[in-house]
Amino acid sequence: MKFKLITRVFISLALALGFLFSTTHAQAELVSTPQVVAQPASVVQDRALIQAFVARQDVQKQLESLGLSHVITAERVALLSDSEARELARKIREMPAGGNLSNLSSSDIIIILLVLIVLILVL
Amino acid sequence: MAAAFLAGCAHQPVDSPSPSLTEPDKFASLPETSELTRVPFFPQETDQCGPAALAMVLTYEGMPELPSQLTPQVYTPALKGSLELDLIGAIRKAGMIPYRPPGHLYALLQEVASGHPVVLLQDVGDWSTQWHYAVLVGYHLRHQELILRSGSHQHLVISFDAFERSWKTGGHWALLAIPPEVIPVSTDEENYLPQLAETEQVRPDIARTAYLAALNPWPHSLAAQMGLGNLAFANHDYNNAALWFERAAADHPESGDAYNNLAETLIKLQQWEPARVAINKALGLGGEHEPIYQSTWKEWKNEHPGEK
Repeated sequence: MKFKLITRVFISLALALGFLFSTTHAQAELVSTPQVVAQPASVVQDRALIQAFVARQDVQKQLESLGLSHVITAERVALLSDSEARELARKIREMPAGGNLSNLSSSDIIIILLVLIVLILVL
Repeated sequence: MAAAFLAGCAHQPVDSPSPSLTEPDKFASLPETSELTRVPFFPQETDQCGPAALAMVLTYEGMPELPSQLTPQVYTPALKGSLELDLIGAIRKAGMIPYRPPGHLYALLQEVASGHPVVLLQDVGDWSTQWHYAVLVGYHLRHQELILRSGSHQHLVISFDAFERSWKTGGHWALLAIPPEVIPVSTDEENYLPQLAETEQVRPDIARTAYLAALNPWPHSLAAQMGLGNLAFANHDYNNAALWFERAAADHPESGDAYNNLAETLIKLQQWEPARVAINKALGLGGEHEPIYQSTWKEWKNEHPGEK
């Protein structure tokens, strides 16, 4: 089950990343500037998570129903920096647990659950 | 840490001023009063405080935008609001550096006094949380008052205390759009360079200008030198990349990263012996990025013509 999901994540990632990030070509042996200013290294996985999420058909459908076209979504993702992508990925991972929604009203929580599961990671 | 993640818009409660003591010595260095009267005012339409606030700031900083032009970039219909990260992305798109100042009032006043309006995230709800973006355009120290463009108010005066109450819920979140050739007055090297590094990936063109600007106050900044080297490298301008990495290594002989990137560049330039020296320096220094140094070394061994 897990392996299957991971495989799918990577396939979607390969497609989505290849398309979206073709300009930021991999510089395998270079230390990037965010790395120089002390950022941990799991960014690739975080972007993979977000991109895989965006690439899913059901997610795209929900995004469109929320008023966000695929074009807008892709553009927003491309404008996120590594650490922002990490923040989003973290929120996605935390989401099923409920997380820090304590200061929000219940109708907010419904919207936000939707958003966190579908949207926020994807924006 | 858990800053508010989204924001709708709400009407600003007009609070009566209640003076407080706010580290008088620090504030004494600021002008008594300051107001950026030429910040345009775009009254917000329903839920559109994000696009409105952003348009005011971008227009004032020299990138004319209307709220309606920004709406598709920053407004999320189902949320009836704008996400903070989308505001940050839109500033990059407009060719400016999104800068998050330190979360205290003094930093905000410093920025206003130096000519930069500030987008603020406030919780203006009475009973429940109501997120709202406003723009700080002025202050009056003796009256302990701030001047905001907020919602339908072009000139909203609010006390320091009332503002602090509304500002703390969202984690003291503030955002500026800084022209890339400008260094904000409220920042320092440790605070600003990581923010620039994040823009490098998305907008290498403006990041380059900003790194060069950062070398004025901080001529030895490792991040700026490495950033300029990495940008040159990404452009296949290996000669310039080598110059920046050499400078970084000379200024920071403790940085394995500088030697590693220098080595990688010298490999591209097929300067095998200097590349070998540099990568051995990096390996000798070690550190968090040693796996990268190792693969640079492997690359050298694979590509070096004389190696078996």
